Amino acid sequence: MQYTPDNPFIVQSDHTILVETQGPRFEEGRDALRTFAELVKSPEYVHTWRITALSLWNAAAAGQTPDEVVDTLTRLAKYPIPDNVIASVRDKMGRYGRIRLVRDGEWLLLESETPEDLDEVRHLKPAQDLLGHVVDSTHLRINPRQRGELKQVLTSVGHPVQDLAGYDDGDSWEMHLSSELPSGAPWGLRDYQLAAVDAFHGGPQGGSGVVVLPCGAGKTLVGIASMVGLGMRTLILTSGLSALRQWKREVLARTTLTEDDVGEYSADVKELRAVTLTTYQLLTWRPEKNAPPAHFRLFYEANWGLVIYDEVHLLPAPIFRESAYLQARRRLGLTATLVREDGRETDVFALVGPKRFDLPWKRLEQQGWIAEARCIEVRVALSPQDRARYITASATDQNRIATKNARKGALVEQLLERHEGESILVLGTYIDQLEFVARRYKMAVVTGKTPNKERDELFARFRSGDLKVLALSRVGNFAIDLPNASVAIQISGTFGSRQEEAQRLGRVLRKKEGSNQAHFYSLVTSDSREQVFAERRQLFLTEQGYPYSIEVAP
Amino acid sequence: MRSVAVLSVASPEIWTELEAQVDLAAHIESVLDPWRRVVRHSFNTEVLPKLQQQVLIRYARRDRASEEESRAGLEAKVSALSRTAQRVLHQAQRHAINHEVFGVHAWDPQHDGPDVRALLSAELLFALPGEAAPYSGRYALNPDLPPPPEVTYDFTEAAMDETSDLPDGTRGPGQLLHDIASLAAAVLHVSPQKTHQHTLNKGDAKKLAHRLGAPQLALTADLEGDARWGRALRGLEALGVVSTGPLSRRLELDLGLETTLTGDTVEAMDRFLHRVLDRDLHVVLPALRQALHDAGEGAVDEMIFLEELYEQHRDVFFPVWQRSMGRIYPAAEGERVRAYDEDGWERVERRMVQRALSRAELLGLIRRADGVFAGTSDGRRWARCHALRRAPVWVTSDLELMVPPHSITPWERFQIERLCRCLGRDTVDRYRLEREGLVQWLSTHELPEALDVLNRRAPAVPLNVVETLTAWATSAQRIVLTRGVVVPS
Repeated sequence: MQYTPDNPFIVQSDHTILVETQGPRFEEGRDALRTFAELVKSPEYVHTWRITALSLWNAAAAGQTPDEVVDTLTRLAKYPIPDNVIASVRDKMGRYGRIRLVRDGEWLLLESETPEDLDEVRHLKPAQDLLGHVVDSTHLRINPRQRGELKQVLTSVGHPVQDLAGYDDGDSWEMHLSSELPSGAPWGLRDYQLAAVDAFHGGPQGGSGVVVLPCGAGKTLVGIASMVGLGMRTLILTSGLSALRQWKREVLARTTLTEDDVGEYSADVKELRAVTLTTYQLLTWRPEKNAPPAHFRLFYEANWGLVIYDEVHLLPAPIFRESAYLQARRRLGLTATLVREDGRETDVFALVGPKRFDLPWKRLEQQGWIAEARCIEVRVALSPQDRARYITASATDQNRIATKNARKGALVEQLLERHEGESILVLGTYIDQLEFVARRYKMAVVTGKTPNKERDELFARFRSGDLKVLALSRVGNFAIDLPNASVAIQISGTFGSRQEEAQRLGRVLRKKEGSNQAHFYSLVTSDSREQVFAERRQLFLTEQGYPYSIEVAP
Repeated sequence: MRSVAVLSVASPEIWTELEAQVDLAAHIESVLDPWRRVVRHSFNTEVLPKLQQQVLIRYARRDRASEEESRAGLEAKVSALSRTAQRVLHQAQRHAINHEVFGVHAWDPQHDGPDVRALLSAELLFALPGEAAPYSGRYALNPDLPPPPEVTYDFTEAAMDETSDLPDGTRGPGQLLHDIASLAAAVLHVSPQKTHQHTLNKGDAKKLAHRLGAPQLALTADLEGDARWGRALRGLEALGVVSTGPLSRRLELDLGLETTLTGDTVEAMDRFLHRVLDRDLHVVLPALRQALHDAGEGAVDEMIFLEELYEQHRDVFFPVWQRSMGRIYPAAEGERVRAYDEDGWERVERRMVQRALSRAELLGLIRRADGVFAGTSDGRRWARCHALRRAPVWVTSDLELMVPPHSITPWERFQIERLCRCLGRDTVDRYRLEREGLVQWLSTHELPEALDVLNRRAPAVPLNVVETLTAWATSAQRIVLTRGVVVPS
């Protein structure tokens, strides 16, 4: 078997590509792969990419040909490429563009290069209700209202539709990026943020898609720059009120827009402005169980030029459905972890748009754009009494006993001493445990019960450095900007949630002045079910190349 | 000395935990130290099933230091032998299978008697019961003996260019050995049951498929009918390293596989060939190997090969017996005596060589055409015609191993597959380290040996992998029951 050691790719017949990171041609290989494959995981030494139908269609949409893809693989492969991979690349990429959506006055037309392709579509059962009448052997009339659903259905059965019907322009609005912050400090977009904005707007179908960047890498700025680049009315959907307020602060600080241009559409205030921010909870709120969501009209109350979905991995199902009707609007999804436990990544691709930009977390860390994080799992034994209870308890109780291990309290105290003077977050899932620790070590605590006003005050005090330690329940899992936090101590977590672990690490990843060092401690009861869950929780971050070192508490 | 079972704990407090659950004292025979206690047989039947804690069952192994000590002692004994006794010993070693040899195949019972006696008294050789005539029965060689010196050949005269009628190569023993190693490791984990029709139970075949990373096999659950894994199973059976429990009907791995697989791929291939080839043909293998080596990427003229073999080392086939009528082939009592002459060569040795070449062709070592043979890819590898460039194995922090082609030996494959579950076999085989694999490993081996397996071919092993394995091992070895520990009576 031919072997070229310096080449970085190993192409597997299951369409995964293993990329050796230590070789001289790694960077060249990675940059080439980004255009037609998806990064699955990126631990040290070997990254795993996958060629999927979607990634190939994305590449085709960006103008790449099958020959170019095969040539790249051949040029950079260590071993001969399996024949089935070459055949599959040619077949899948060849499908893209065979069926197109184009505008025809008020209507849309589904057109194909050959009558056979259109015939095949017409005989697909799930698509039959979405197709209009036959214009000729290669054209079918489509109702613009069916644009999203038709794309979703056809994509799911392997017939990607090239959407050339364009977007409706929203109302123009004069806006620019400011060159300095309100404090007077200058600022500018980083290279990778500019690249992300370009990736979003570029290509024949530019204007819809998802940008994936780690927490603390400035996804909000990518959203703001994309919005400013377009200069149109924008609707921003966020994961919660705190995130909404953060977005608002950033929009005001980074652009020439004023308070009059930026509105909050929340339970308290219903402002409809050039840039309007709202939350997923509010949008999906129903006055009664079977009633339709009361605030979906917001999508249609203004002539939006862009809809931004923050934390797009959290997008609730009703908003997916409604997004099918927003296909004529430009759409930008932002996320750090495009991992959906419900497996609806394909719907994000079909309805929000393809992944436009993705960077491994470790690369940003190496370049100093996010803090260098040290993940430490601290193992602590149960007391003899608790161990005796644990042995005889049921599986559910075993997990509870292990997670709430009383000895974790003393460890928190030791870690607070170790990092005295630093801004520390104590993160927990069980409220009683969190409140107990907070009371014992005299720290402020924010849970779901904490009123928004009080939360904002506590967050402001933490940001200003007045408050050095803050305990957070699951409300702290998403989109809370506490840039000075440099230490996170996780005392309990939600079973094996990879998403939660990644988001919690994200709380301390923002670039720090000086050493740019962050610490993430996960306290785990040794020899217990919690240890097994901890291993699963760590998977996403391990895949991103974050090794956990293990300390055993005395 | 006697063999006992020893229960050990990671810390003495654990005894209190155990005593809270069962009446431990009644099953303890003696206390060795604060961490170890010798248990009675009743512990296995009465206590183990009731314990709510995981107990790692281990089997004591002969320690490496004593093996090496024994080997060093034997080397000294061999060098102290007379030259003729050394010749008899080496001849016996070349004819031995599993360290056993028939006297009539290895020496001349009449003339070599004093040398055999010397070997017996030096405890390099042991007589096995049932001998009919002096020095003619079954003998066991000391298993720790150093290997005999290689017989040297030169077949450069026989080397020639490949001819156009030589066929393409078939699959050789290289891949088969890797598959055998993989299947053996899976058998260790699954202990599959055989049905009364002597086929593998479908459920267990699916479990094997899961461990082997063979999704297609999981669908059919027909391991015997699977081209790749069926061949590996037949290979395991041919090696005689699996047996079916008479009552449980479970397929169990017997001792001996590791001995076949040990060393590099070429050594393992060589040992495999010795195991599956008729024992009387073993003596042809070194000559065949040298001929392939001398031919390199070319072929071997069969006629010249035979002539050279006759000229150079006809003596390796049989010990020549000197009798009053002249030199004869070894013969049992009552057997027709055949003169050891040129006609004998044509009728005996030459036919043996032809038979060995046919077997080598069947095993995928050589390709044959009229009057000529050449090595297959595996055959040339076996003859060390060329060295393959090894790619590194990668161990990543998400506990995965990526094993490129030709990067590990069959022995290393066996160890890796005992430790890890195969996620997929492709251009590169992918494995995941799992707790279950390590626990299985710890039943006979130590954690440092597992780390050594990883470090052997990987340029680096991430710290978290080492820490995770250490943590798993610590947790698994909290309570250990070691069977077969030898203590003074």
